[in-house]
Amino acid sequence: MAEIPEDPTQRQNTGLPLPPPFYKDFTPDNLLRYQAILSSYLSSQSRPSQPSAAASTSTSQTQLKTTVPPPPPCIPLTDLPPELVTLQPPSPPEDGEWRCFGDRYTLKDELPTLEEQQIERLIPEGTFSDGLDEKQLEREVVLKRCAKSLLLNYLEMASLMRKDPWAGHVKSLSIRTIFINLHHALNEYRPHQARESLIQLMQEQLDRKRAETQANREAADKAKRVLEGLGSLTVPGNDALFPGLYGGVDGAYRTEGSLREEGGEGRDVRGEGGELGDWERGREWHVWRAVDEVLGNGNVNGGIGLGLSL
Amino acid sequence: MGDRLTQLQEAVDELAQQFAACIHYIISHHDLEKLDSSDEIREVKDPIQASIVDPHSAESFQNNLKELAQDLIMREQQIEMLISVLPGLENSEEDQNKAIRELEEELKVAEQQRTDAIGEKKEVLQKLDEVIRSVRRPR
Repeated sequence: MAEIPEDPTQRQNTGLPLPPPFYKDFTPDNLLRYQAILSSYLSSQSRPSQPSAAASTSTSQTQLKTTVPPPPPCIPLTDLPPELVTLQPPSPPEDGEWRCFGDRYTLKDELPTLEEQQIERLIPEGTFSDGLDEKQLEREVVLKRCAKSLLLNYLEMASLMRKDPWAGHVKSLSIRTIFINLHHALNEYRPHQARESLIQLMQEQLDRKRAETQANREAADKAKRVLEGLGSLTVPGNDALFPGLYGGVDGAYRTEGSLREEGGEGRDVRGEGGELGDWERGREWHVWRAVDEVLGNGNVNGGIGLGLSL
Repeated sequence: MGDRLTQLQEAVDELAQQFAACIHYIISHHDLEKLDSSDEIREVKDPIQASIVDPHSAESFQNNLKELAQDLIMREQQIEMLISVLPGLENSEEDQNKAIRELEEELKVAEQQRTDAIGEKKEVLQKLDEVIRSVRRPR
């Protein structure tokens, strides 16, 4: 293993310990090699474990229960080249406990009970952790009772200390017990609040989706109305401007052809009549005003991003 | 600023701090009393000794005590207020799980409707676009 080049000045500047010496093993090459070994190992090993994994995911979906994810697969260290050994995360402790900075931690992260902490229990058991119907109503009462007891005990402590400064000790212990109980109750309430927040989030998401659906439908309806409006446009002295559009949306595909035909008719009319320029200018003005009216309405309110390139 | 539960826990911790702070104030700023008419209050020369008790005038001491007491009560009221607005006090775990499952189903349906609506809108827009592009300003 390569020595870490030590820079004494840097070491003094940082208050943090140096990284472990094997951090240099995490090169892209090594990571790729490890992945290759891991996948070949898995394909040779994991045939029997595959169905059980699938079963566990399906049950977790149906039950809405939080389960600890299965530990990552481990290759026996003997099968790994020595320089790749440190790339494999260690397996979780077998007894489910470990120590870190002098504290005990468990894999299963759960709230220690008041009894385990040797604190007198003041709140009724299970009021906050369980969803029993008759206990739900008590939660609020219990919490408020705790808060009021705090003030009362403090008052008692203060009056006791007026007479004897050392007599407050007993009361301060009661206050401590109440505080710990109160905090414990609130911590037991956490999962409940988490579910409640989830419900809220899902409700918001649902509302957003419905609003979006609604907006999209409205926009589509507006666009449809514009199409129908175009189909019913008429110009004085002529037939429908978009004859193909009388059928509404379905007729829309035929418009281009119809328009050309119509253009031909226009020329015929011009051929018959004498004052070509005036008539044509008047017709143009009517048509474009009508189109602007229809499109203008549809556009301003509907917010449809039409690629209008007229 | 966290969720309501965290706010509540913080308020509780602040109440505890206020408890300690009030006692500390009384200890460090109370008046010096004579137990007997023959007693006399000595002048404390040592600055460290003097800093332990720094008597406030009787009036300001009483005023401050009153203010501290009011603060304590305010804090307690705040805690009670936070307790009554805790989310889902009235729901049981079963209710919640049921609600979550229902919402999950509704979300699936809503997502489907949303996709349909978007598709419909696109279709109509395309038709409209075609129509508009096919219009030529007559020459």
